[in-house]
Amino acid sequence: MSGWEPRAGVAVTNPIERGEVTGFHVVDPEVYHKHRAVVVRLANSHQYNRNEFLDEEVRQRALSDVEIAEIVGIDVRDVTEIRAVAEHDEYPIEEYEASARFKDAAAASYLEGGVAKLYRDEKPPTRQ
Amino acid sequence: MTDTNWGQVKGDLVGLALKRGASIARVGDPALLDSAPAGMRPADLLPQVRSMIVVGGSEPRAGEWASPRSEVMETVGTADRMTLVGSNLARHIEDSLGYYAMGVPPSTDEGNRPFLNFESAAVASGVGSESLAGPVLNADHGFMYLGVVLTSLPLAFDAPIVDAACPAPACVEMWNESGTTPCLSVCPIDGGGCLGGELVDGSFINRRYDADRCRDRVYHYWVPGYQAALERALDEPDSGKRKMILYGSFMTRTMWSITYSNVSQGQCFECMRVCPVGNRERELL
Repeated sequence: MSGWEPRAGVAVTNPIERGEVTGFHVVDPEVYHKHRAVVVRLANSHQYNRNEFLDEEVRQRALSDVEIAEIVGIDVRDVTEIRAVAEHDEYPIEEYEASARFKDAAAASYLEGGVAKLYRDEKPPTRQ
Repeated sequence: MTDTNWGQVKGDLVGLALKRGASIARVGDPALLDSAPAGMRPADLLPQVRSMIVVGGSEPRAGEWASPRSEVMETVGTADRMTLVGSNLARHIEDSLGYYAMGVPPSTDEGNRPFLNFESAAVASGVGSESLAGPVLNADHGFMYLGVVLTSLPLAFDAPIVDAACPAPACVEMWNESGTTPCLSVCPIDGGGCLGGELVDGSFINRRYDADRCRDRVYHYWVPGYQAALERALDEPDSGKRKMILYGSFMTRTMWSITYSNVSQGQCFECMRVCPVGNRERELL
């Protein structure tokens, strides 16, 4: 397309630059367990004041894998793998049973309360 | 194309998106997403990008919200329809107008990251605004699925929404009365759920969100559930018990879902079921 130029300040990246050339790179379990907590904290798993409308001094955005690797001091590919594994490793399979019962209770409560009653004297009950 | 009526082009594209099934379609400035991590910025995906079209829709039907069986919502929620609208728009732009266009893939890249933050794109284009529960909410339609098209078309940008849909007046009222909101009440992070936060001066602040727990609920009978069940099966030394896991109801339903034999992606809607934003569309006779 004639006349097109990339915008200044925007670099086109590739998976190598992003540290995402994982292929079948498998993180060492010892490295995983050693760094898992800090990677999870710095990534997007447990968010606090993440929202974009917040002022920069308040907002706590998730860090990229490259940024986390610089802080933790390990290979960025290991950060990617630690994050990917930890995201699905936080809760055991029993959590899925609890989730099913949570949904059952929430749907039943909604049916009993209905939209009109939810925000007046009958609030949706807290479920465990 | 110096004589092109770009306003007409934009109007035609929005009209096409609505005709194809979107509830809303707006055009955002892709530069507003330039603060995203490398690889997740619009120009990283399409270097020629000048504008991004964001479509929202495919929200669950009133009857689905009203069903007492949560398994209904576990099965019908899918972004596929909005992905298809985006794909149709992209093809139309390239075939009929001669400009680059890409429907952003809704899946994940090599690093298990999204190609683009669809929620940021929706906020930037004014399709909706951020919410305490998490999903972008549109004041009229509430929760919606999203699709994003990046294009080299020089379309005029729509502005982000000034008056956020969340918190809704009913939620502010509930917070003032009892210190909670419908979404916080139904899924409290300190009570086995995913959400925390508070309302201050008509906005939400100190939002807490357990993405891992939410992921397990939203992708319940999906990849995370499959991985967890498979790990349990591989760890089970007794072949008889292993068979019970692999042939059991959880693994079976998960396989139905993963293979799209019964379409499902989003599998937990409980924070959205109680959300008052857009609930006028859910109240039928």
